[in-house]
Amino acid sequence: MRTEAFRGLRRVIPCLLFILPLVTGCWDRLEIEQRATVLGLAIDTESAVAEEAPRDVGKSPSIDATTSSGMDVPYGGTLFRLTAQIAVPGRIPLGPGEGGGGGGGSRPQEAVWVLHSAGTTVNDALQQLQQQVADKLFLGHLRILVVSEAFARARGMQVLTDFLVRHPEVRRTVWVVVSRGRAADLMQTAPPLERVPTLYLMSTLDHAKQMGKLSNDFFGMFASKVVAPGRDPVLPYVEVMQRDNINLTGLAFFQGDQMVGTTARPFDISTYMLLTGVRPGGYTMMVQVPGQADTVMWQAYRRKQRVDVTFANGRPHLSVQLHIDGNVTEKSSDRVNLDDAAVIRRIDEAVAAKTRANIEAVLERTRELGTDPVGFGEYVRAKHRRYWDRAVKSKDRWRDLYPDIPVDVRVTVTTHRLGMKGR
Amino acid sequence: MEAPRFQTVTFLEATATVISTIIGVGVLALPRIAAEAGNSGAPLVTLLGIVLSTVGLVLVTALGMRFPRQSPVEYSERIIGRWPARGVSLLLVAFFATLTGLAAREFAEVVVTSVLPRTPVEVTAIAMLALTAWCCRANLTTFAYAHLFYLPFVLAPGLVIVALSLKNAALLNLLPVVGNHPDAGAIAAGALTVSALFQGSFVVAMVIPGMRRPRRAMAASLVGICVAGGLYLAIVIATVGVFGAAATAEFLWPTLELAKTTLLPGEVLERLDAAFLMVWVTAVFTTLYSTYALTARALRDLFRLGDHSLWVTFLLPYVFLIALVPPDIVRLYQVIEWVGRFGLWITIGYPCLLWLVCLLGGARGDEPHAN
Repeated sequence: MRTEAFRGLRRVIPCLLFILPLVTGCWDRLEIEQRATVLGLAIDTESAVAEEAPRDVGKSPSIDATTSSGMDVPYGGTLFRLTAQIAVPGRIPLGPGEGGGGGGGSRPQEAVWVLHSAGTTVNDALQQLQQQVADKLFLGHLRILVVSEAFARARGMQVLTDFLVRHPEVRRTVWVVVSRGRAADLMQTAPPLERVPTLYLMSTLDHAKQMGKLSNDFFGMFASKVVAPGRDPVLPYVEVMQRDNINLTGLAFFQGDQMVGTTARPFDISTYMLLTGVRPGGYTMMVQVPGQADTVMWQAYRRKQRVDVTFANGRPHLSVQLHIDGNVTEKSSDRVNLDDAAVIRRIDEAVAAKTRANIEAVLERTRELGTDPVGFGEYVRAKHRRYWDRAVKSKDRWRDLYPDIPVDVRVTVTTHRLGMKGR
Repeated sequence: MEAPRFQTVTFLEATATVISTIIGVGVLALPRIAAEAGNSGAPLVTLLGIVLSTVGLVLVTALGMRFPRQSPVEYSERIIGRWPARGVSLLLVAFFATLTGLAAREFAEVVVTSVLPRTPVEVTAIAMLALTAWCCRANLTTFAYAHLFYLPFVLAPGLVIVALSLKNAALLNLLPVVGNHPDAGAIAAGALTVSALFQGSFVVAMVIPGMRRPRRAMAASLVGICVAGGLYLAIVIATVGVFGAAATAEFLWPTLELAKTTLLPGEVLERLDAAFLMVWVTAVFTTLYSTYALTARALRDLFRLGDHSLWVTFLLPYVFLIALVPPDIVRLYQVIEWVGRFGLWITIGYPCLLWLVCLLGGARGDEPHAN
């Protein structure tokens, strides 16, 4: 019995000696404090940085024409400026109970470290950043990426999309936003609500999404829409307010990966979400009660969308049917009698008319910009294969056709509740 | 020939063996292969591939049931004569050894790209192969039981990812069903490549001689390929539904991307790719286990030896060398596609031929003794 067990053991031990050193994973051992965790990145064109000297962000390295990869004539583009927000390990409070006293966690600026570098591609700039940082840059916790409008218009997102999709550490759920001014400013905001600035930016976007105020256009969605044959992507468009917070200003429209314009106002986000069939609606609109000078505030809570493609004389014709359910949340005067079903019906009609006008305005803007953010092309591609394969074929051709295709919009509205007041 | 004392494999174990052998390293690249061939028709391409594999599997199982106590190497000699059969059996051995080596390499490439960038590919490959070789020394009873034991770990990651990601899927991405610009040639080629991912199911030929009731082998094969094929189809539908066909074709491993994009409800885990990869190792292991065991046992039968464990040890350096042959990831996938398509001649074409000769010549194995 014993000798048999021994014999078994004698056979097992050489195997273990052979296999065990291989499976310890020591090659890739990297302690958490040896990582420089990048929480946020901002990308600016070099000219935007030159206009304004960097503010109190520590000494920035001199940027000359030679980049870290040793190329003096950058092809395919000019140098851009990368700003990174790196977590300072000891300063980030882990739970809600920590922070405040001790550790210096109460001041948001101290929890992170903001650094600059330059390059012609993201990798190039990151490599230069690595030269300034002792620990290995780690992108697994990258939560937000801000691109300045100037960069998105001049260079497009290709350089970024390729890097982010290729890099194994980067999350697909990272938010990419376009900023109106310098993107670097967003890395330096110090909001008092959250102890880590980038996490505040991220929750601004996440919560807006939950409240139905922002479509779910995170980076993964952008990357899918860029290559989809019948639609163009959008990204959230933000600007810095008073240094400490950001304002969700609208959406940035793209033609492929090239930014071509923005929505006219924040409310257009709602219109875009309505058109793309996002069910929860979070925006409140002001409508004038027909026949009166007074207004009510009306909030949508549920929306339904249906897009049909019909053909007349061999040309496509789009019709969009929308239904919105909502509540009255405020009235401007006692002259509005909400207890009257006829008044409610008139309000419904007013909401429908206003929504239709909003939609027309947004669609007109996309036609002018030559972009199809709603993805009408996808409906044509998916449901009318023969037409698409014969007459459209490519994304560019669809962009040419799109502005001339008539879109019928029909909106029905139902007001359900009035809040806690009876009239 | 399996010793009678190891003729213990039950219906459930045989089914589990088929399922966990099929589900393996190929699941990561599958949506890309299908989307490249048929864009939004990717599910159709996958379905065609599954149908083709089912035909092959049914033939292999039918042959096995006709010769219930013999291995494919043995009964093929009886059907088409000793030397022609030995020649093909040698090809079969070479094919499954190559398949094992390439699967180990593909696994190692996934690991080095996504989680352990500084660990040499060779180390990951040899660790996996050594583990497989060690386990392959076991008898058929242990083999089948191990597959049953690991089945939940093989099925779980795929099912969880599909279930969690379907809410992000858009029906529009899956239309038109035949794809835009449908090209019968491309769809057929894609279906062949997809079908090549199912070749591990040939393992049923090795399991039948060990089954307690070989008559139930057909049911086991069919249930097995339905479950594995169903899961593969669901993964393709979920991936193309979420990303769209164009983006799916751009990713190297779309299924891994799906795991990356999927949030656990309540955002407990914000990315599932690490968890997915950990459990997915089991699926790779069970596939390697089957193809390796198949190679060793075919060699045993070919050389009329009583024990296969000798071959297990001797095979290891060869399989490892095969794993190292492709110089880069692009050529690795070219080689995998090429070897996989070639393998269809062995796993589908050859059984087809054997079956035809059987029908014409009336060759039949010994009746299995009752109970």
